[in-house]
Parts: sequence; C-alpha cells; structure tokens
Amino acid sequence: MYDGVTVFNIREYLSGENDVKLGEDELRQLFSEFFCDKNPDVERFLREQAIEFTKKNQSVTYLVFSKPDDELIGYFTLAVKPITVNPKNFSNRMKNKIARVSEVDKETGTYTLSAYLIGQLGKNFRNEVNTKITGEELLQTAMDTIRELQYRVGGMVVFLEAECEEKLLNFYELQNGFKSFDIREVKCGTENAHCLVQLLKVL
Amino acid sequence: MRAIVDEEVVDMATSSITKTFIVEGKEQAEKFANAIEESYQESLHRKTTPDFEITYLRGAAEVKEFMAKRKKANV
Repeated sequence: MYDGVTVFNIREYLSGENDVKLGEDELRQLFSEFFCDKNPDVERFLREQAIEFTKKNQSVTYLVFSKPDDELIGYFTLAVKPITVNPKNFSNRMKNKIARVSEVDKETGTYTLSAYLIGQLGKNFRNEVNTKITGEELLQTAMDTIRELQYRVGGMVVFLEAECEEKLLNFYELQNGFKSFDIREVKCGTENAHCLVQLLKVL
Repeated sequence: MRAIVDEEVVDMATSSITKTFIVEGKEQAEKFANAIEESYQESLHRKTTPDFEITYLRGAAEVKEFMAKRKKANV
C-alpha cells in the first residue's frame, strides 16, 4: 500500500441525487471501474445489488480508494444483524461467557446480540490496481469502519460467513483472529450444495 | 456472496445479508460462547488501529470534491 486509503459510504452519492455530479447514475458509472473476472458475483453484487440493498437499509456498501492516486481498489458491504442464541441446559459458566456480549430475554431464555456482518469484501482487478491493497488491509479497513459504527451505536461482535476452504479459513482465523462458531449448509440437495463456516470476532 | 483475498477468489455466503442468524442446541451454543470468550480475551490485548491511514469522506460535498480532484487527475 502507498499512503493509506480513502473511504466513503455510497449513501453520500445517493443523497446527492439532485446534484449533476453525484446521484445514482454517476455512482453506477463509478461502479463500472470495478472488475473482477475471477469472481463475477463480487462484481455483480456491486453493480446490481449494492444500491438497492443500501436504499432498503439491508446493508451499506463502502468504496475504498488508494492514496495518492485515488484508484478504486475495492469495496466492502456491512449490515447490522442480530444473532440469537437459543441454548438448552446452558451451564452457568457458559451463561457467563455469552453474557459478555448479550443480555438474556428472561421470558424466552434466549440471548440476542447485535452484530456487524461483513457481507462482501472485494478487490478491484482492473488494471492490476488490486496490487495496491492486500486482503488483510481491506479487511482492516472494514474493521476500522465497524469500530466507528460501534462507537456510535454499540455492538461488540463482527461476523461473516466464508467458504470452507483452508486458505480462506487461515486468512480469517490465523491472520485476523476470527473464531469459527458454526457451519451453515447452503442449497442443500442441489448440485451446488456446500457449507459455509460462520466466524466471529469480538471488537 | 464472495470475497477476494489477495489473488484468490473465495465464496462467502450468498444469503448472509438477508439471513436470520440463530444459534440453536447445546453443542452449537457452547461453541458460540467459547468463540466469544476466546475472542474477548484476545481483544483485551489486540491492537485496534491499522498500520495505515484511513480517510473517511463525510457528506456529499466532500465526496464531490474528492471525485472532482480524481477526475481532474485522470484527464
């Protein structure tokens, strides 16, 4: 990395709808600078879903630019999600552990915590600008943004779902301190069936 | 959804953003609680500031100014 990154929330573009230099059309134009031929889904999400998800407040996408040349080098998408833990016969020891980040609902006996989901994390492979930021730096940028949000609205946990692949799990667990807590089966019974590892990190 | 980590392309959850997350059952709940505890203990000694500078643009005016500078540099 050169001298750091510049980050902004795409809402800043959408809020400038009446400004000829901002607005949705201009934002889509900016998105056209993002290429990821190795993974069309990353590109597709940014181009086709990021704006709608942001408008519906399902998630918010942040664009990341290199310094000093201001190249679009990546993006990440965040959402606030509750995680509900429904334990049965939980020991007091376990209750104490989970109470660090949540409160029990005495009526239902469940624990719910507000957590930040990293829903997308993608580097731009156009003209090799991907070399200007590492995956770890992009993740650190997302984490720093989450810490800003935490200061304003609380929350203690960040989590994500990742494909069950050794290199990726090493990246999250060994290099970046995430802890796996569950596995989710996706598209069960289809030829695309696979498992996702759910990982968390206390902020 | 997918994540790109360095040169590698790796799947993330397709439906993470729209999914409801519920951890059920004693074994899974214990695994979750242990993950929380382990990460919490690590968080007490973790450095939280990145090694590089992150500049956040706030408000349409700052973004507009940034994009104008960027456009001018690329002309």
